[in-house]
Amino acid sequence: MDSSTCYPLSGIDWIIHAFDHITRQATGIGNKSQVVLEIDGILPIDELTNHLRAFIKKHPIVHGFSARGLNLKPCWRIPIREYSGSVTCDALHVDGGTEAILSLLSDSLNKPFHSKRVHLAFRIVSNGSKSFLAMTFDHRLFDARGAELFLNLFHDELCTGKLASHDWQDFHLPHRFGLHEKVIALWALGGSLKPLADIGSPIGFPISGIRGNSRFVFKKISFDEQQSFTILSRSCDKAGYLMLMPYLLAVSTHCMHRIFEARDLNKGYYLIPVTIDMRKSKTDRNNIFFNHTSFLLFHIQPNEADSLETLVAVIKRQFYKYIKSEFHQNLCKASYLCQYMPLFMLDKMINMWSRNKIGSFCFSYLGESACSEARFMNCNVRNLFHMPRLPVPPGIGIFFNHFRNRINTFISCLDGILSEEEMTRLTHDLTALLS
Amino acid sequence: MKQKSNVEALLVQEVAIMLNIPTSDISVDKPLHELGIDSLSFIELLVIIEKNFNVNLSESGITAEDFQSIRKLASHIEKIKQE
Repeated sequence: MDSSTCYPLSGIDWIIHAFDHITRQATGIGNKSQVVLEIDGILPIDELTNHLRAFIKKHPIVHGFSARGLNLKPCWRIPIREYSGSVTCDALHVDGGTEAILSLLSDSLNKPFHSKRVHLAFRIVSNGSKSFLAMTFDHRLFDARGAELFLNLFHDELCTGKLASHDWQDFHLPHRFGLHEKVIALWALGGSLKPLADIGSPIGFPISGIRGNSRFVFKKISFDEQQSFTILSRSCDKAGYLMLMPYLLAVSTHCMHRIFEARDLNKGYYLIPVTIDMRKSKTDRNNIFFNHTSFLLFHIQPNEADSLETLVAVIKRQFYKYIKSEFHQNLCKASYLCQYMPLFMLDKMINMWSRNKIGSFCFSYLGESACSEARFMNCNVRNLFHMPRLPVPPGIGIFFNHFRNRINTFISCLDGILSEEEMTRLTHDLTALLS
Repeated sequence: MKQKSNVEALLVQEVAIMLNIPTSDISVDKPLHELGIDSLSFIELLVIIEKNFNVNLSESGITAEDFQSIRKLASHIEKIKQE
């Protein structure tokens, strides 16, 4: 083994490793995602790729891999010497519009990384008037916010012309909790989750027929500034001040309910894992790498999803209850108890608990992007959006982010879960309800 | 008046901890969303208020107007504490 150093992983990191393992078993590719900068004009490809390579060289952490430390807890082994495996950075030209570009961006996301030590890949797609810089990343290395912060760091170094070494030892180590604290958190979690065990099974799309398929398909819905302002105002009217996330979740659930209902999938309840960012500061550069997230598990009865008003009320009530009971914090603490479990065992435990349905669909609202620069290499930055692959099951999710007064929506779906007609209907319903 | 400023001071302190920024960066007249508060931190703030001041905000007749700034929120809390 080469010379390396070890960074301790948190309990949530280990849960994310389990999701990676589950997704790898189901699709052959792990849990990865892509953050994309949409830029007006043509980027200087050679200059950009040289800068990217130099930047990546300064961050050996991106060539690490998970292992067990001497205390048997999971850690991220970081090579001290430079690792020869390079991060790929390809540039492509396409004659076509957004659909053609999205298809090329999906291609890079739907391919596995070329080595166990590679967790990042870059792709630049240009169509003559616009360029898209896409960073594909392994979720074991970054969460969505972390990926934005990493791009931001790269952008800052490009602007200042200095390649600052960002030593991993400057990063915040995961918080340490005593055994007693973790057990109390687990007990509290059990109390919050007990009602779920009594109300049946989560509703989910069948995936047995498409197991082994690795391709995710994506639909992008972008709202301009005016439409985004309308969405914000409507969320204030219908859900209350600062209730954009519960409102977007209610709209997404309502639209997904129509699809489930049309398929007669209505026995049980909708279980929606919602990812939340646990960073106190959205621009905290000491928390770039690994996962600083937690989850809230919303549970909705199909009859509650018929009306948007009822949905908003149910979601707000559950949101408040979860935060009051510190569910998200307890999940972070209790997850440390899983760290000694091998991944295959943790997968089994997660599947057993969720009756093989981790959720009906995933949802996340990332909020305002941490990377909000208006210029990138002398070009205007028009937009920033995320294209996530998801754990399978559920293999389908709706994601929102906010970039400089614009809201982006992305539907991510394992190919085959939804028919083309259903995907069109979902896109149409979301657009109509929101704008 | 003094108690009112105590409520305000505590809210400023809690928001500063929540957003990981110095208290000096927090203007009590700024709308909460401009301070960087989102849905999650807003609910966290409500829970902190209810725990610290032993009040039930949802049953207190609170309006969207009362959430416009820390000053207005503090004033509403002060009012319901006196009732």
